[in-house]
Amino acid sequence: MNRIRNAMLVLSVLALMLVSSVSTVFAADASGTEFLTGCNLTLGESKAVALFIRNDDAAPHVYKLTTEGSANSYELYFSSNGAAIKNVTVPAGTSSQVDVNITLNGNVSVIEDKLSVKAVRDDGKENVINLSIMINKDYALSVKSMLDKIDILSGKSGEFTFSVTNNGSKDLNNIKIKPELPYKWVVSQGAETTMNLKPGETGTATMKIDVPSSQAAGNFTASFTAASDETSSIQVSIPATVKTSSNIAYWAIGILVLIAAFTVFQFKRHGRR
Amino acid sequence: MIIEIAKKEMRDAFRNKLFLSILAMLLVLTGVSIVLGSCQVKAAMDNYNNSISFLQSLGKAQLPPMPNLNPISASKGFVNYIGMIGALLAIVLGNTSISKEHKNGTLRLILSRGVFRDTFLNGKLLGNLSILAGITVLTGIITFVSLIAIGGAALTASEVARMLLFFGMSFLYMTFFTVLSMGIATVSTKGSRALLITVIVWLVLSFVLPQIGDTMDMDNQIPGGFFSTMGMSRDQEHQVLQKFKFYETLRDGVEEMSPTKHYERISYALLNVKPGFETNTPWEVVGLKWINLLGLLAPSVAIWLLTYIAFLRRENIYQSN
Repeated sequence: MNRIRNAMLVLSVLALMLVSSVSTVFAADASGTEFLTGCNLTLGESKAVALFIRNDDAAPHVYKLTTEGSANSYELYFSSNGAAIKNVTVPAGTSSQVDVNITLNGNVSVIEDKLSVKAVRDDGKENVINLSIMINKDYALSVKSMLDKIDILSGKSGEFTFSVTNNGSKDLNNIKIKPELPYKWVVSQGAETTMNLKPGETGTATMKIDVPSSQAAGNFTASFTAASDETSSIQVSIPATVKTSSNIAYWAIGILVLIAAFTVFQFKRHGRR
Repeated sequence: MIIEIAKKEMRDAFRNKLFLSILAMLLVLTGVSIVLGSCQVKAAMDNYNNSISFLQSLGKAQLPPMPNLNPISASKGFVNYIGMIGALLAIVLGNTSISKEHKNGTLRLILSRGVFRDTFLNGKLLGNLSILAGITVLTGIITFVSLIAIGGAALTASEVARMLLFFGMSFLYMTFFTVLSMGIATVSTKGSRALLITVIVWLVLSFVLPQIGDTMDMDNQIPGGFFSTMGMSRDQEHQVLQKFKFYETLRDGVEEMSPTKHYERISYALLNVKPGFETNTPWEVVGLKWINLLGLLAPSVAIWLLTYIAFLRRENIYQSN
């Protein structure tokens, strides 16, 4: 009896290990009634949940896909074979895979959230799948820019200062600011600066960015993400206006004044002819 | 006296067959490009209206907002035509105004009648600028009428201001080549030689210099992009770019010498062809692109002042060619 009990214990541990080794994202079948599936997310993280929509009817049908009912703010879209879709056509008697792409943005209001995915067939038949979403708040990182926008002269540097906060419940190590800059803009200082933050702690990071002299004046966007060994933050975008240095104007006006003075001198010397 | 010379200049220009042929070509090309652009705007408007009607017929209450059709970008083709044919027109106009007086011997006659040399040049310039202004106004009217009548676009005050500023830039661009052409014709003793030199200068300024600047761009060294072909990461790309700061300044300097490049840059920004200026007011765009405005204005002023000096000091005016 003890052997059976031990064997059952070992089997249940093995089953648990097997379950935890499989991706937390499960496939769901929209043709069933209600099916609850799991998805673990951290702030800023994106995940794709695969759903299979089965059409048992004798005719092909178009399914309109929508989501509703979540408490947290997510960025959501459906895709099939990598392309974003809103509707999916399923041939008669077959299944089609649709991915629900979920990104957790903004503040987390509930740790255990639910999301209802509706697949409404063209004849009005409705299937709902409820997805349970578990928010992992162990690692959460947020980055804010000290400036709403920045003006930089072409050929000069601009300084971007950020406050980085560990919003999670565990330490974050080797936090770096990762920039996404317009073409030919170069980070001259601060690219390799790292910091470690304890839960609730806020640090500041400064990054100096060189704008090439060839950069034509205009409005651009520089985007930044704070990334640690464990997680990364949501991207913050800062509008940057590039202006042309006034030195060029002074040079041009100086040359014009010289030429004008020379012209006046010539007129004075030779008179009007 | 200046006004009299300017009036005569305008009358003479409309007797010049070469000038009239180029003007006709410019107007036809402008008309075609604006009409095609307006048709594109109309097609986009029709598509949107059809979608709205369809959604309304389905009983949808939430309708998509009208996309930004940017009707003023219909003038994009006009930038290229002014860049080439407008410049040629301005060159012919400037060259003929000086060289015809040499050729006909009327220069000696005019200057012997108590007309100062600077007055003579100012009158010629005023006449030529009036013609160019007339051409600009005419093409502007064609554009506005086409956009409203064919494209069915209702232009906002900001879009009208952007268009007016754009036509102002086109005028300044043509002015530069007229001044250049008049300057070279004043220095040169032969009109045909002066025309040839001006055309060569135009080719260098409008095609060779921008091409050199473009070819010198590090990322244009290999088709498909140098950095992506070499499989470089963004960090490696930054490391390479940091080593070539002087090279980049030089490359940019070559490009900045081209008035055509200045004209293109400010025009594309005003017409919203280049993204990033949609939220700016027309004056903010000009404020941001002041270097391009200066690039169009300053060379014209400098060349005109040098033309004064060259003409004032020229001693062989009374010699026959």
